[in-house]
Amino acid sequence: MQSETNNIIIRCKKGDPKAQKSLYEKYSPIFYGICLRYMKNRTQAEDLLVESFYTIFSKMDQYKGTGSFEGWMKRIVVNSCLMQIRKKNNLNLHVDLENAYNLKEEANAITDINHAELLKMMEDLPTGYRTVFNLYVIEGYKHREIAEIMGISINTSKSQLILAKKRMQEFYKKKHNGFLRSN
Amino acid sequence: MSDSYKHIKSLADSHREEPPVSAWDRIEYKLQSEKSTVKKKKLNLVRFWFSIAASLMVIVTCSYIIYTESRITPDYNQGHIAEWEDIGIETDYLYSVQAAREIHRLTDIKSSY
Repeated sequence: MQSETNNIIIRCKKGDPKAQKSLYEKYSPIFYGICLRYMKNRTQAEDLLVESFYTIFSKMDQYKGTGSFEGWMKRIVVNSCLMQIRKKNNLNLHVDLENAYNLKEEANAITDINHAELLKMMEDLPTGYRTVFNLYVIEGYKHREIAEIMGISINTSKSQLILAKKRMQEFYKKKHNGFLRSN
Repeated sequence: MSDSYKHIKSLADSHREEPPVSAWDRIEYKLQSEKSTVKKKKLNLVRFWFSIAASLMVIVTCSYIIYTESRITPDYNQGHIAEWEDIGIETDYLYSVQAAREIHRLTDIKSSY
C-alpha cells in the first residue's frame, strides 16, 4: 500500500497524467469533504478542490517524503480554504470575549447527529465561526495557532469558538424539538 | 475534548464524498495548459539565447572584416608602388634629376656649336 503510494508520488513528480488521476481518485473524496466543511456551498467547494489539487500537483517536488503524504496534502487543502476565505470574506471577527463567555452554554452534548446534519449546521454558521470551529475541533489546532494562521487575537479565536458552539447547540435543540422534521 | 467535539471530529474525519465529475476535467485542463505554457516559455528562452548568439556572431564577423580591411593597403597605393618597383635601374635613370640636368647640359653644348 505504502509502496503503491510512493510509486504514485514518484510518477506524479514526473508529471505522469495516469498517476495524477489515480492520486485524485484516491484522495478527492476526503478532500472534497474538507472543502465542503469550510465553504458555504458545493460550487465553492468544487472550485477549492480544483485549486487544491492543482497546487498539490504543481508543488509535488517540495514533498521530501519525511512526513505523512496525506497530511502534507491535507495542509495544502486547508491552507487553500483559508486563503480563499481571507480573499473573499470579510470575517468580521471582532467579538467581545466577555460577552461571548456570558452566553449561557447548553448542557446538551451533540452526539447523535449524522454527517449531513453536521454539514447543514456548519453551512448555517457565519464564516468566522465556521473557520475557527473547523480549525479547533476538527483539525486540532490550538487557539494560539489559529490566531497566527488567521491573523486574529487569541481571544477572538476563543470567542468565535464559543459562539459557534452556541449556534450549533441551538440548531441541535431545534432538531430535537422537531423543527427540522418538516425539512 | 468534550464528547460533542469527539463525535463531530470522528464524523468529519470518516466522511468521504465523491466530487462532481467536472472537477477532474477542470484539473486536467489546468495541468495541460500549464504544460503548454512551460513549453512556450522554454521555446521563448531558446529563441532568446539563439538570437543573442546570432547577434554576437554578426558583431564579431563585422568587426573582423572591418579590422582586416583597415589593415590591407588599398590597391591603388599598392599599384603605384608596384609601378615604381617595376621601373628598374635603367628606367630609373630617365627619371633622375641628375640625368635630366646632364642631358640638358649636353643639349646646350651641342646647340652652341
